[in-house]
Amino acid sequence: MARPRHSKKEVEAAVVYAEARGWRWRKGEGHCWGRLKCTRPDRQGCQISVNSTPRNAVNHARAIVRAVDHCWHGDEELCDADI
Amino acid sequence: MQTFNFLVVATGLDPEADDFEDRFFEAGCDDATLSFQKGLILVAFDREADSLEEAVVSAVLEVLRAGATVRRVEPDELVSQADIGRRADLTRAAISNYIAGTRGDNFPLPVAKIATDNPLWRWSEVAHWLHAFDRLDAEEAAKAVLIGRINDLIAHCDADVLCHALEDMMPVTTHSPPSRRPVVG
Repeated sequence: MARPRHSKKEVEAAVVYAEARGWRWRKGEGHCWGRLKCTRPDRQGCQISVNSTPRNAVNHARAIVRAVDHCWHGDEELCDADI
Repeated sequence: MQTFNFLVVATGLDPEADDFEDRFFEAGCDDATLSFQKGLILVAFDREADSLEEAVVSAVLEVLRAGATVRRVEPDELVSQADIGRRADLTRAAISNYIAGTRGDNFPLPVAKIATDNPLWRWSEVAHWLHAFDRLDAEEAAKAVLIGRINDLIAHCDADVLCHALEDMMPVTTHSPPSRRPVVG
């Protein structure tokens, strides 16, 4: 299923930012619009929950980008690929 | 009103569960971004409030209400020399001088990882010292003391006692519903 666009453009941009770094999107339940999963597939991997209706879209988008930047699993893979 | 950023670190809920996010949302955390990293639930708040105390105390209470176990609030209490530099916007050399006592007297002693080349200090003690030495503004020093106090409570109380202690700390503001206001008299 193709990913729908998030209704807030700032949040949509943050999701695109995550996807560009290898994160995958899964549909969420209830107030959760979707879950972003980092490149590491097991339970040690990182997950970010994207709200359907964040109180402040700009702050939520910024926090998503910050959490993506804190994940080091992508770097691990990049390092492996470099070798 | 000001926006305060801080992180509540928690455990005890399954991030794969269908109702994981709704628990937090319904407890009032729609101004937080939830993530799961290194086996820990990170609740990153951007909370508007009249004071840091109101922001942090209300946030911790909501995370508890969501059913999670609160581990601590960050910015963390234990800091390395590099962390001190970042938080106080000081160079490594300046801090080395304070630690060595070549500038200023009686810099706090480290409290953990003493025998390593990366010892840790209590940020509340360091912030207090830096403020007294005019290297940190009063607001930052007060923040450090408050977060330190809340982390002490979290470390030493079970969930019920913690809830009561936090509710007692909750500042009474004009935004509180009337029923929460203590009787004046």
